[in-house]
Amino acid sequence: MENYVWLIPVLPLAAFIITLVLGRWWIKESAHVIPILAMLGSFALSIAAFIQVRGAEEPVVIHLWRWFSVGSFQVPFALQVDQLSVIMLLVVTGVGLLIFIYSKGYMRGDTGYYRFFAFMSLFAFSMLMLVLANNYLLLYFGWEAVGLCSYYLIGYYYHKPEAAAAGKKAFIVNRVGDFGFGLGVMLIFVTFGTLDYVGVFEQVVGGAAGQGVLLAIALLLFMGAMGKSAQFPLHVWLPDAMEGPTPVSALIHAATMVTAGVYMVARSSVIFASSPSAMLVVAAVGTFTAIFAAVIGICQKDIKKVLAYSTVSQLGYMFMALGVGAWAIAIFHLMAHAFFKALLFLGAGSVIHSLGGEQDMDRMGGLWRRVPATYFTLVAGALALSGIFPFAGFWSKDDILGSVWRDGKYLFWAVGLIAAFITAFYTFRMIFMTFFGKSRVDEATEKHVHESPLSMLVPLAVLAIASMLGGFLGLPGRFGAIQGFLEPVFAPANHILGLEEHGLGAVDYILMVVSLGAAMMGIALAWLIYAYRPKDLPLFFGALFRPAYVVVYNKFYIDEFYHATFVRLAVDGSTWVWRHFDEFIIDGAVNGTGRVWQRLGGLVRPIQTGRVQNYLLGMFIGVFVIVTAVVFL
Amino acid sequence: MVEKILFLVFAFLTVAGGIGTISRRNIIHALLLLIFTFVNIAAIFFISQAYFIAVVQILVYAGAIMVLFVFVVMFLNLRTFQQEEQTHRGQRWVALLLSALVLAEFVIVLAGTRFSSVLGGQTPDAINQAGGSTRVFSRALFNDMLLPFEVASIVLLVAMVGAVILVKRERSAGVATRKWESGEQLASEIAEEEV
Amino acid sequence: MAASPTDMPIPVDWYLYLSAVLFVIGAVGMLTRRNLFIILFSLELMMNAVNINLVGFSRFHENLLGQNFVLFIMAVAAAEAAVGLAIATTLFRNRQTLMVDLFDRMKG
Repeated sequence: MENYVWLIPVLPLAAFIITLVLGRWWIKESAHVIPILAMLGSFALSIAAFIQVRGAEEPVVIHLWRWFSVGSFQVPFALQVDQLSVIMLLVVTGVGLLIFIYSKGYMRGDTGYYRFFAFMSLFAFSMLMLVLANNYLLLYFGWEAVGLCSYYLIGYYYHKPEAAAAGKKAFIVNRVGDFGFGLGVMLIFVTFGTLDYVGVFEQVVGGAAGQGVLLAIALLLFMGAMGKSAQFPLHVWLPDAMEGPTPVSALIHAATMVTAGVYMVARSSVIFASSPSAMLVVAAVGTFTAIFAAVIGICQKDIKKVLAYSTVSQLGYMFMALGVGAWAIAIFHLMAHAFFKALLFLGAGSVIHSLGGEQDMDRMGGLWRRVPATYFTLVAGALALSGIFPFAGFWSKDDILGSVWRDGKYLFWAVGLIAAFITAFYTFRMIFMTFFGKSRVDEATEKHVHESPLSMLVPLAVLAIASMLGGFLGLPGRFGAIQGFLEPVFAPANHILGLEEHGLGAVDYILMVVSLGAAMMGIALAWLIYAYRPKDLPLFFGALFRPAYVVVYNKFYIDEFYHATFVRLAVDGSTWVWRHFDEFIIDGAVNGTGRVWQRLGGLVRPIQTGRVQNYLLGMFIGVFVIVTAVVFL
Repeated sequence: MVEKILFLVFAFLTVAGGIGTISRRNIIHALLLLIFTFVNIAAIFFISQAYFIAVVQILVYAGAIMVLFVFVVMFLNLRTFQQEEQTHRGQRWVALLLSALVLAEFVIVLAGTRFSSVLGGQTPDAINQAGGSTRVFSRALFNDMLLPFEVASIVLLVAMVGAVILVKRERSAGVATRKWESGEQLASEIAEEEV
Repeated sequence: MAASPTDMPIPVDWYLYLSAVLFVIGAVGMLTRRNLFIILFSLELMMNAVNINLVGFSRFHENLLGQNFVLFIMAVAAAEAAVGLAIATTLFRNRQTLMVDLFDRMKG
């Protein structure tokens, strides 16, 4: 395996370099070829790695070269391949490949075509490095790199000020989280003397650190996860990130980058398992975010924004799972979510493409006849997201809720259930508003409406199938293929928590029925309001709950709050520093120095009167002084 | 004894003349007083039996140099009685103080010095023996001191030529018709710029 | 009157005191007066003071070299007076004044 694993991230990197350098002049319209081939290669190699790693008890560590070697600070550039990283590899390369193919159709004709593919490839490289890293520093490198690519790709339409601002926002908010993450990594090094997973986890299990330190590390690491995975209160960047092209939203902000936080916590399962308080925090944040985002999603008009908040909400579910020790299930949900969320985004992109750029659902409707293929695939995705049996989302969400119940956190379970109801509601609200009812599309775009090309539809179909069938990988309890597969990785953490495999009891079946019921109620309500009587009821409810509606529509004014506090603080603070420090003190010092010498010079200048007699006097004085000195001293 | 008295008399007159020179408002008066001073100095030289030098003093200093001064003063048509402030307001006192200090210093140093000499043997008698100071002088001048002598004559030549050139009137430059204010451009400079 | 070295009629100090006084007088004149001519006169005074000094020492050391020097000083004084007066003439022509403290274009 040593021979080829390193190729997995390197192929996209090579694609990036080639496409970026040659893109403008040589490749142009064919800029997609090399990146797609690279992703294909990486995917194939990931499959190979998957096959080889099955059943392995220990992770395979592949040492590439010596990276940092300063005294006791030894960090190698090394890759770790185990079941967890292999699943992530498959998700990233597989979904990535599909999205790349889709992008060929979606981005066609765009002036920055080669730039897009170049940076998507760079992103793939970064994400794969993140996943394959064997130590926290390399993880951090991948972490930052994906943030950078995200910034770039969000601001892809750089001449749009909103896009540029959104890119900045993403990067800055991430930075807040990364600050905590960085501290966490440093704390790990200080405590354990090493940064690679194997070493650190061994020491944690061996009791090398106290409760307080472990809690601190866990919370700091989680801060990073909150930033990258858009959990409250660092979720604000994700909705804005929708300014980027739809494939970007699909890949980075649904399937892969935002899941990096989940991956990282799962990878650090041993650390978190050793700190019950941290687990509680993770579960609480996740649960809150799940319902918070879902509520906001109800009122959004832009189709992509609905999906953005949906992503935030689903990520919350993943953290909920992590918080109760259901590591494998969280990863399972990550995988399932990658399928159906990417599907939904790409499908939305297809709709937008058909409508020539329209994103506002108020101006859609009645499209199911016009774009049937898109419609069917989107419905599949929606069913999966809502958690309807037997689609993927049902199994994963149900696994999560089951684990939460089993852990005794009934409040969280209840909140999760309500959030599931809301999820189904807003998802099908989206479907009904987009595809059903009388067409509200305006006339100019009306003529445009056409089904998307094959390059876009095929990936949609593939993802739809994955969403429908993928669920069976994660059956609850000991029937779950994924749980079994990932067992070796999470065994230490589970051991600490005292978790073990379980069968299915009556409770489980009841829970399943309850969550299914909640989802169906959500769909029914959405149908009632949006399909049955599209014109009246939404407005009626909107008017009835006007104040609440305004608050929710405005995302609970969190952005405004941040702006009024942190942003204003930073801007005013730096303005103050600029005026007082830079201009006054520093410029003052520099100019002042100049002025001092000028004044001094001005003081001394009058000695040169231009009059010979004055000079004579000076000479005379000089002679007197010298003679006195010589004679008398 | 007699010599000493004579010396004192003439010394006193010299000093008086000197003070007079520098303190007169009228240039001509100052000039004449300077001549007077020179003559007194010549007298002192006579007393010191430096006959040649004494005569040269009268001939050159009083006779030539001062006459030159007289010529120039007349030539320039200066208002000989100057109306303006004669001395620097600022520098006056500093200069006086300084000079007093310097004089004091000289006196102190002189008072504390014993003079001794390696006698050179050219006493007045010896000089008379050798044919008078003129003869001895000229012998020295044209033998040992030939180079400085020639150089001195060249210096005089250069000074002469220089003086002539300096005073030569330029074709285009006019003569200033009113008193120049400090900072004003020279008429010749203005002419230069036009050219 | 025959004079012997050990019994010089006029002590050399006297020459020196006279020379010093005259020199200082000349210096005062040079530093104080505003009129160019007076300055030149003072200059001549100073040079004469030096001459007296030299003659005194010439007598004291019984060496005519001192007087030789005086001769040269006189020659140079003559040259300098000539040039100085030429300058004075030119100055007066261009500025109609000989008050030296008004000639300050080289100031600053």
